[in-house]
Amino acid sequence: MPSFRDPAGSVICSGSQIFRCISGPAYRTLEEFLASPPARSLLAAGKLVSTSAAIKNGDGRRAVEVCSGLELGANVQVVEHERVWFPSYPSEWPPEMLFAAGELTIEIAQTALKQNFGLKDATPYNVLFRGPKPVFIDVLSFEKRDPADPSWLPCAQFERTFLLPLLMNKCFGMRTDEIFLSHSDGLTPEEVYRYCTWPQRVRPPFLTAVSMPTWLGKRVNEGDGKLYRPKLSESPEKARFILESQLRRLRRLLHSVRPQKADSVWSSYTETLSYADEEFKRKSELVGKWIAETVPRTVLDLGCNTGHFSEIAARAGARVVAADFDPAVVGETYRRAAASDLDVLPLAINAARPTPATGWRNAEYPSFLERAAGQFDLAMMLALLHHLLVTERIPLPEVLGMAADLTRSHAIIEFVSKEDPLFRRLTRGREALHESFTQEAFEARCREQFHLVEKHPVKGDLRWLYLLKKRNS
Amino acid sequence: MTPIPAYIDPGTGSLIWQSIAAAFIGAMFYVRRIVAKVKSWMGKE
Repeated sequence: MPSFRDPAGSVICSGSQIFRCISGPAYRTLEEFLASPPARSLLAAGKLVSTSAAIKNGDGRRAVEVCSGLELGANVQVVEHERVWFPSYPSEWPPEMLFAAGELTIEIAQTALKQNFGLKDATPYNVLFRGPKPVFIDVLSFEKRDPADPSWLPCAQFERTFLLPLLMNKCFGMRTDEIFLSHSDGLTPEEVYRYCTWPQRVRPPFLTAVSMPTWLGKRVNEGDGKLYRPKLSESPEKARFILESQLRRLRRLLHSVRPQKADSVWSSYTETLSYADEEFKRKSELVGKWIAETVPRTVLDLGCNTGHFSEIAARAGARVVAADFDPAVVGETYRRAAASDLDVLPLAINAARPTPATGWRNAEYPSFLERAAGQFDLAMMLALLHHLLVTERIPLPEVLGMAADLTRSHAIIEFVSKEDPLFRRLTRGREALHESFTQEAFEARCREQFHLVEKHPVKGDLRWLYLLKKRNS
Repeated sequence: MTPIPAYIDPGTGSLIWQSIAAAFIGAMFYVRRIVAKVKSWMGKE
C-alpha cells in the first residue's frame, strides 16, 4: 500500500525498488535541501537514505500512475531511494534502538536547522536500521521554515513516540511492543500521567515531560484553533536561539531516559545454563565451520540470545537479522553489534508470535514473516526448539515447517533431547506430553522438509547440531 | 513561501508548555545580548 499520511507525497514499493512520488512544491524544497552542505554531510555519513534524481519512465512512470489517486497535484515528480535491507518497526526494537533512532532524529533536526530547514514530523517510523546503524528515510519531512518561527510542531510527537515510551520502559518496564503495537503514535502525557505516583509527578523528568503538559492541557479550549497558530518572534536570530535551545532540551530529556543495560532470566543464558566452556567453544567452531562451507549472504538467527552466533555469521561476511523474544538480550545484542560495527540487525521478536501486519487495513506495515519470506540463505535455530515445543506447545512439524519457510537454502537446528536438564525444567512434570520426541522422530520430521547434510553432538548425547539443506532449493 | 499544512497532532499541553519554555528562553536571548554588549564595552575601556 502506498504511504498516504503526508499530503506532500507518497512512497511506493515496486518489486525491489522504492519510489517516492512528490508534489511539485515539495520536490523543489527537497532538491534544495539535498543540495545543501548539511544534507551532503548526512548522506556521506550514511545517516540519510540516498535519493536518486527524478525519473519519469519505466517503473517510475508506473509509480506516478499508482500515486494518481492521491491528489498530489499536476506536477508530480518521482525519485528513487536506496532500499534499506530488512525494514523493521519500533515495536520490534529494544529500547536501545528506539533511543538511537531518537538521537538521530534530533541530530537531523539540528543539522537541518543550520540551513533553515525544519522537520515536519518526528516519529520512529522515519528511521530504519542498516545493521545496528539508524538511517533517516523520510526525506519529505524536511520543510523550509519561517525564519521568525521559534516553535517546532513535531515536539509533542517526538515526546509521544520517543521520550515517553523510553520513560515508561525505564521506570515501569513497559516493552516497546506493548506500546507500539497498540499505540502507533506513541503515548500521550495524559496516558503516562496515570501510571505515575505523586512523588514521581513532581520530579524530573516526569515534571516537564508528563505532568506540566497534562496539567496545562486540561485548561484550554482546543476548539478555537488560536493555540495552534504560529507565534512569530521579533527577529530570526531570537527564533533560531529558541529553537536551538528547545532541541538541546529534548536531547537532554532523551538522555535522561536512556536505557540502562538490563538483566533478565535469559541474558546470562549462554554463559551459565546449558554448556560447559569447552562444549560451547566446540559448538561455536561447528557453527563457524558450517557457515564457512555454506557461504550464506543473509542469515536469520532465531532465538539469538545475546547474539554470539549472529556475530560469527556477521564476521564471516553475512548480513544478519538476530531475533529473540526477550528485549533485554536483544538490547545486549544491539550493544555488542554497535560496539563491534557488525552487520547485525537485532529485533525483539517472539518466534511463536511474530510481529503481525499492522496499520490501516493491516497493509501499512507487513508482518515479520511477510518481510522475512525469501530473504535468508540460512536460518539458525540454536537452543530454541525446546522453548517452542514445551513452553509454546508448537508441534514439531510446524516448527520445522517455519524453519523451511524462513530459508532459501540451509538451516542449522539444535536438537535438544527430552533428557536435557533445561528441557526437563521447562516440562515441569508434563514429560508424558513429549514421550514420542526422540532423535529418530526429529530426524524423520526433518527429512520431510530438508536433506540432512551433517550432524554432530555438542553436549554428550543431550544436544546435537544439524546442518540441513532445504528440499528443492 | 506557501506553508505545507502540518498533518501530525501537535498536542495541546505539550504545545503550551513549549510556548512557556520559548518565552523563558526568549528572555534569556536578550539577557545574553546585554551581557555580550557590556562585555564588549568593558573590553573597549
